[in-house]
Formats: sequence, C-alpha cells, structure tokens
Amino acid sequence: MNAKSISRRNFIKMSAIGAGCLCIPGCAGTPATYHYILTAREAEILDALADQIIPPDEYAGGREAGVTNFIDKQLSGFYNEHVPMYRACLMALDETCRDIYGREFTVLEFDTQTSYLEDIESGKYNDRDWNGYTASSFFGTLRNHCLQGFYGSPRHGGNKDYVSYRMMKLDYPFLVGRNVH
Amino acid sequence: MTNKHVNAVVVGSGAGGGVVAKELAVGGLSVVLFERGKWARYDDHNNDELTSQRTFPLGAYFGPDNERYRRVAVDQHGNERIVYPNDWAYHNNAACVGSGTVSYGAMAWRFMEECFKFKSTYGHIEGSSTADWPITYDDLEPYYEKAEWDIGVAGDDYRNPFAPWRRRAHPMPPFKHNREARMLEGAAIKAGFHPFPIPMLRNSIPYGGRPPCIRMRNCVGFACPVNAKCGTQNTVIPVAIDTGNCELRTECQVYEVMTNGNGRVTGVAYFDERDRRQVQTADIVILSASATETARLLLNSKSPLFPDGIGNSYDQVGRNLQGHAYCGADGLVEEEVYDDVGPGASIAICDFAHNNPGITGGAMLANEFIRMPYLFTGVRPPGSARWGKAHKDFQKNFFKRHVSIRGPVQEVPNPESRVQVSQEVKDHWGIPVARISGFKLDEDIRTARFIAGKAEEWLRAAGAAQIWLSVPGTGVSGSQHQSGTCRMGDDPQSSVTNRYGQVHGVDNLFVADGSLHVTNGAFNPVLTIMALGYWVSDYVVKEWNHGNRF
Repeated sequence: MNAKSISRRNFIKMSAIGAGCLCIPGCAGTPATYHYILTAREAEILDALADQIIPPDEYAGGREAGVTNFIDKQLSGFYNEHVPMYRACLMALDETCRDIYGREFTVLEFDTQTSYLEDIESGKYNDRDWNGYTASSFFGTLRNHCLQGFYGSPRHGGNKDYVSYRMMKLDYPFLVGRNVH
Repeated sequence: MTNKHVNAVVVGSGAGGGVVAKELAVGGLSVVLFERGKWARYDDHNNDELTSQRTFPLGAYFGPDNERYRRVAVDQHGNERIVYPNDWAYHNNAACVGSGTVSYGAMAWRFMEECFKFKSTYGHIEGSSTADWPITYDDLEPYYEKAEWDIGVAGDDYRNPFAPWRRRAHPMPPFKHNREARMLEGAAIKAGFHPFPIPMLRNSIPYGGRPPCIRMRNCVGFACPVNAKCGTQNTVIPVAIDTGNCELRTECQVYEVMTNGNGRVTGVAYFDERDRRQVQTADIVILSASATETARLLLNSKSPLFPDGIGNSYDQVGRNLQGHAYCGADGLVEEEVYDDVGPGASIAICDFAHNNPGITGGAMLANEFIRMPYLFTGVRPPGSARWGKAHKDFQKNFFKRHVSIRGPVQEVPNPESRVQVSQEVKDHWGIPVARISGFKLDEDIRTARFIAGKAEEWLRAAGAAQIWLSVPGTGVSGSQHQSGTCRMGDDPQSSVTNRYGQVHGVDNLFVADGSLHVTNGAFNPVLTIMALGYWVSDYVVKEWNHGNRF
C-alpha cells in the first residue's frame, strides 16, 4: 500500500470525525434554520406565502424549494432596500388577516389563504395603511421574488436541487458540452 | 502621471468601438481603447438566469452595476424617476469588454436597401423626423462583407429571396434547425412565406481559431463557455492588441471630450479604475459608447465654443432615439417542440420587412430565443393566473409546447424621443446622467399590429391551438437596440455627423456606433453597427495615410 492510498483512507475517516465534531452544538433534533434578516415569525409567514405562489404537488412547493431562504439572502444583499417593506408588510398582512378572518395567516386553511391573497392582489385592501405600503404592490413584488427563488439558479439560495428544472424536464445541473442531444 | 499622447482615442469597446480600434491599429495609428467595464468571464456567472443580460432582477452581470450607474427615466406624462441598470426603463445594453456582443443573441442581419431610404420609400410621417441615410446599402455592402468575414457569420442568404444583393457568401454554413424551427419551416411554406436559417455571429464550424457552437440553452443573455459566439472581445479586439498599437484601458469612465480654443478636440478626460481623474490626449477621438452614452458624453462636453455640448450647435445631439417596436405572437402547440437545442432562435422570414401595402416599414420575423424558466413565468395568455397552482401547472405543461414569433418593427424616428443630460442627478463620479424621454408614434404601433398579425398567421399554419398577440405600448424604446441619437446626414441642421461619422464642425471627432443610424432597420442592428465601424475607420485610415490630420 502506498502513501497516497493510506492518506486517502485516513482522510475520509478524519473527515467523518470532523463532521461529527462540528455537529455537536446542533446535534439534538432538527437543526434550526437561521436567517440573515427575517425573524422566525416573518419566515413562517413567508413560507406559507411561498407555498401559495408555488403550491406543492408532486414537486416541491415554494417553501420546500427554499424560496424563503432565497428572499432572506437577497434581503441581506441585492434587495436590501426592500427590507423595510417586507418587515412592514408581512406584519400588516397578518394583522389584516386577523381582522378579516379572526386568525393568523399561517393557520388559515390553504384555500382560505388563497382567496385572501387574491383579494390582496386585486386591491381590495389597498385602502388600509400597511405601514406606508400598498397591499397589492407588496404582493406584486413578493410574487416576483418567490418566482425568482423557485425558478432561478440554486446559487442564490432557492430552487433546491434544481426542483423547478426537474419539473420542467430540463437537464440539470448544466454540464457544458454534455447536455446536447 | 501624464499619459503618452496617441493618435486616436476610441471610447467604448462594443460592436462599433472594437472594430474601429482594430482597423485603426492595423492601419498604423496608435490607439487607446477605453472601456468602462471589465473582461466578462463565463465562469463568473455561468448559467445564472437571474443575472443574465436577458432577465436581471439581481443585477446585470455584464454591467453596468447598480451602485455607480443611474439614469433618469421620464414617462409619457412627464413624470421623472431615477432608474438603475437592472430596471428596463434604464435602457441598458452592457458594460464589459465587447459590451453587448459578449452576451447577445448574435443575429447577423444586413439591413435591406429600403432601410437606408426610409423617407423616400414611405414619405413623410406626421410628427416624425424621418429621413434617408446619406449613404446607401451599396455604399455599405463591402463593409458588411468585411464584418461577416472578420468577425464570423454563419448563414445562407441565398435561401432568402428578399435578401439585399451581396458579392460574397457568408463565411460559414448556416446552423441546422432545432425541432421548433423544423416545425415552423413547414408551416411557413404552407402559409406562403419564405423561411430560411437566421444568419448568426456564431461559429457553425471552427472559425477564427475558435470552436463551433455547442448549441447551449443559455446563449442569449449569457457569455459563451467555449467562445463559439463571435463578439468583438474574442475577434477584433485581440487583433488590435496584437498589433502593438492598441492599448485597452478597462474600468475607465470617460466623462468629457476636451477641446482647445479653436474648437479642435484635444483628447478625453476620464476616471481611471481607482476613480482618479486622468487625461488622454489624442489627434482624433472616436465615440462608440452607445446611442445613450455617446450622446451624453457630447452633451456633457461643454466649453465656451460649445455651450450646449460638442456637435450640438443645432440641438440635434440626443434626438431621434430609437430601438424597435418589438411585436409578435405566442402560441401553444399539441406536440413538444422544445428539444433543448440552443439558442432557440433559428428560422426567419423577410416577407414583411418592407413593401407591405398601406403600411409604413415592417419587420423581419423569427422564432424566439429559448425562454429560460424565470422568463417563462411571464409568458402567459391574457387573463391567465399569475401565481398559484394554475401558474405552476402552465409552467410544467407548456414550457416545451410554447412557440413564440417576434419581429423588430422599424420605428419612424421622432425628435421628441431623446437623450438629454439631467440637471440634478449625477452618477458615482459626479457627472450628470442621461435623461431618457419620448414615445413611439402611432404609425409604429399600427405597423406592429400588422406584423403581429403575420406572426399569428404563421402560428396558425403551424396548428397552434391557442394564440395571443403582443403589440408594444407607446413608451420610448431604446435598450439593446438603441440608436439614432447622433444621426448622420448632409445637413448639419438636421444631423450630428456627416456620412463618415465625422461630427459636423469638429473635424477630428467621430462617432461610430448605433447613434449614427438614421433609421434602425427592420432587423437587429449589430451587424450594421459593425459595418459602420469598418466604414468610418476606412475613411479615417485612408485620410490619415494621405497626411490628413483632420
């Protein structure tokens, strides 16, 4: 056995130990999801919204595809200017929801959530003050961002495992010179 | 540190400037080629749709950036707002070595003979500043040929009965059609049209020391990973640098064309890559910074002799801004026609580019480039769901059964569509930014409606079940096909340069980009911009070698 193969074997062993060590703080149960910008509650609402924009079926929905992660990541960077809007509007969306339906958005039935969002989109709640923002225009931006997260490149934090590409029957990941039929 | 004096400064390394730099350097002039961007690399963005030059919600990778650049957009009601490069109202093209030619779709059209004689073909249109070019197709023909052979075009014009005459065939054979185009070919013939493969600035065979195209899905809006797409950055610019006569200076923002007391241009002032003010003196200056930025640069170059900007004695600089009134039709078909063979655009017809009875102008029609997944989220028949289950199902079920035909309708130029400089808004360097305002004429929309109807006919012949038309609004166009802001002409009162791109009244200042276009053709304009690059350079080099120092 030469030095190379020994070191490879040892390397794998050591990597496993290393990974175990790193895991210690979060080992018990599911690791918590951390966000750069969003609070746990905001992320929860956004997860529900993402599943409304792209509902799960035989393929992942927005939540499972990492749309919230995408938005959070962009809010900490390129979409930084949208942070106040998200902060204000996610809470306002929940407040209006309690007003109308007597419950928080995230506990509404899926179909009730849908009709509530349809009302928001059509401008039904635009006369309410969403902390200085307009309900329907926030929804328009949110919709765009969700679609970007679901259909854009996974490098930005969404479209987990290229789920949208798989759904659209597009080869993934893209290998230059290999995907030609 | 003082920069060494050179014979020529070229501002902008895109389709026009790249060609000019090469021709001048080969002709023996010492050249500094300025580019505000950097070298773009495929590996830095690879197949990332969200930063492509086609859809750029997360910023346009090929530049410019949102941090340092902005413009003022004025809508038709006169409302102004500040816009950034990843907003459509910015009318962005690109900012990198090669500019738009790195990420373009690379259609390589020659304008038709009528495109150069718009006014005499269609007469005067109310509210327009329509005019004929001071040069004809015959003048430019040898320069089209030069562009095709120097940079590389794959095509076969002999299958297009409406093609203008040519001396020499394309240097490379045309591309084979993808499945969608094969389907559309039969349909076009059935409809009585004359289909043929789109000429492309893309290698169909090894050419210029670069390999053939691998038919990727991510072509338009992206750089090519194997360098099969022919831009100025991988053809003429390397040749220019190899002569030893040309220095490419990247990340330099030119902000003023400098003049002396006699009204002669002495060089340019710019900010270098570390934002230091610098001066580069030259015997002649050639502006190839795009229709928006060339106009802005002229307007920002004020002096006692040119209080309103150089070349602007008759208030012509920045006027007649045009793009194309893009229109077309989309349809859904029974069979899957998507076979993942890029770039998607493959087949065209020129039946309606000109000579449409009762219609002003027209457009070439071609099948559309591949719609990437995020772009496709916006492709829906009117009244469709914009989110939710139905939206997702459409994405799933129709991506491979969607066909789109598009045509760039030649606009009638109007003087109120224009680039000015803002009085209040400045960029990162403190330079007044471009202010874009204007509209399309009703005549443009009427032609677009006609052309969209022809696209519909084509899709109907293809058996599309559901068809919907797309006709543009009346907002000002520009964007990647921006042109017309420093148009050429014989009369200084209605144009900015003479027929050689030489600015009226300033003999050692030239323009060589889309700004020169009097009208923008019924086609994608890049090959014409390249041809004009050769045309202007040919004049400059010949005169220079005869001892003319302008």
